[in-house]
Amino acid sequence: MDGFQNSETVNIWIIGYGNRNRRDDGVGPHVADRLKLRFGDAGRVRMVSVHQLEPEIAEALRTSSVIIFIDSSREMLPRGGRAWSRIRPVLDMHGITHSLKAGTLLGLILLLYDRCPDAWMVSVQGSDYDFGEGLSKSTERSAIRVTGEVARFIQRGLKSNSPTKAINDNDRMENNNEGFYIRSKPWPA
Amino acid sequence: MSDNRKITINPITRLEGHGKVVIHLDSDGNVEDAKFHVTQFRGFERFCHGRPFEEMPIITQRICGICPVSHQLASAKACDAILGVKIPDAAIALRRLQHMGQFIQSHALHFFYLASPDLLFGWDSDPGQRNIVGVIGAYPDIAKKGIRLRKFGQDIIRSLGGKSIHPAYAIPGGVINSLTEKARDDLLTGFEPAYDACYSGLDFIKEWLEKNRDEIERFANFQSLMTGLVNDAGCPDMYDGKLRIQHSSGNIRMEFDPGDYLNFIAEHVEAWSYLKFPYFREQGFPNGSYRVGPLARVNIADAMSTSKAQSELLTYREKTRDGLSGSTLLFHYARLIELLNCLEVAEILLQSEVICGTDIQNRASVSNNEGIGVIEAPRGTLIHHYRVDKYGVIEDVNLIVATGHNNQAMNQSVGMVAREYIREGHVREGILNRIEGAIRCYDPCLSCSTHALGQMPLNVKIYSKDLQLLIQLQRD
Repeated sequence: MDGFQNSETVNIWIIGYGNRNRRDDGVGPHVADRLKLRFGDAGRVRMVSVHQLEPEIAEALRTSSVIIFIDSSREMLPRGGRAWSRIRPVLDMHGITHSLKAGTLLGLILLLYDRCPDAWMVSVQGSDYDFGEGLSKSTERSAIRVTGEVARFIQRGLKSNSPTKAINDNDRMENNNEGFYIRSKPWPA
Repeated sequence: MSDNRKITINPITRLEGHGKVVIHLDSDGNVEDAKFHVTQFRGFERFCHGRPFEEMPIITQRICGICPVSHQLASAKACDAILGVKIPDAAIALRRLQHMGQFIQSHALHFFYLASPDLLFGWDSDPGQRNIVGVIGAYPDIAKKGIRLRKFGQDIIRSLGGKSIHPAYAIPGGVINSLTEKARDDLLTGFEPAYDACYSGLDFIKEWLEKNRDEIERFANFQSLMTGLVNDAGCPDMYDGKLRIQHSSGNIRMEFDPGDYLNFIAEHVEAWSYLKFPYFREQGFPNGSYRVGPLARVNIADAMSTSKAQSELLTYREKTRDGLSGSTLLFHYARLIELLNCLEVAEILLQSEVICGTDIQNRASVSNNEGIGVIEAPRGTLIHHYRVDKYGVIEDVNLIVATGHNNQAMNQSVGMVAREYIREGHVREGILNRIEGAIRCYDPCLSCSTHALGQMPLNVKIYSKDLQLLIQLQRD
């Protein structure tokens, strides 16, 4: 899988997924690409841009500690059009070959390898899903903010021995008014 | 007037695309009629009109997200014919390699993800367990091997085209990238676990065949014409060759150039399905209906082109010689023999001198106003036929996809299974899954099959926002 090979030393994954040919649906890969330019691919953190999630990714992710998924959302999101949510593993494998969701991918990892990494979904609000390339202006602004947020998380994760702790620090950042919006409810399955 | 009952299975599960089965019972509760309805249409044959022919490999691969490579390659071959070029040897090898990656991932997907729940747990098992989650829970080793095997096929595709879904790789005249030595060496390390996974499947299916021989003899077992591409040695060739038609009894055999397909194959249309019914002209419809795909290719083969697969073919023929050659359930066994063959062919290609060659494209301008590209896709024979004007603008498109070739056979299989397992109105959950399973044997990709807009009987209803019927349009 592009970006998923030689993954044994990687324990923090940033996975941006979506269709680049459907305008704002491509915001996930867009953000992952920019993070990759900034941080490269060496070391414990890996940024990957994919069209969609597939079951075969589970093998590469089986030793990870933290996964950040980045995807567009048609939902109205406050605080500059983006939100972070925890994801739980889902064991309903319906449609596994066609449109795998992040929670289902976690469920597959849990079923196959008896463990599940901490995972977050970073949603970026989209407004234009028509055929075409490039982001709408509003989504592009949100993407810039999200890129900064995830970059700060990566830097914290690289400094910390515990990537999970770096995630949890995001919770405290909410209280410190650093601009993160964290949904109180888990991401729907 | 008879008092009829109707049983509907909608949607059918563990297939690609949408379809439904409708079974009509008579007043005694026995099956009067059974039909497999395809309920979606796509329109590719029509909306490609007016496009430059060079775009067709990119456009048509989006017919399907599971088998995009097959469409891309058939399309590229049709475009090669329009250009009138012979592509370089390195490009042929690379296209063949990508094709093998497609077969490996598709066959692994079907056997381990879609078919294995039925085979491992049985038709009458709890539906809550008879799915991929159940397989992972009860047989985690098999599940992991299947995932890794599919991943290997996708790694091959991705090493060439940059991504596994809708890769931009084969183009008119050749391919766009050569393969680096590092990428080749990386791929060569993946064969040992891939063979292990394939043999695990073969060991299982042989054991399953012995335990279920009785059901295999009864389950949609019928003789039919079978078709596929073969090379000069009579071995199945997934990329090129002659089209061979052979009856499963061995009585009829003929071969022709795939470019002459219209002289041999016609398409029948029924009002109740968006999927056409191809058949051989000489026998007419429905007698000229035929099957394609793994069962057909294994049946028509004089031999397999590689040693491990040839050994398995001999075992297969020994085990199935007593009237089982037409049994629909044997698609699963044949599919694994093909998987082994494709692994071997991929390994041979990667070890060849030409695979890292850099002469990968021949350029030309429009030389012919018609191009036909035929390959064997994982599900069966795939035909792309284009007509263009002198500038290379598409004027007409005809696509016959694997699942379309199998349409009549799928209907026949559904009817046979329904008649065997529904008697006097008594219907069990396991029986309904057998009917779905009959279709699933063919690994149909319904997203590919329904591509023609404007030629099918259509019933279109237009409702207002408050669900008032405003306009009804019907074409017979």
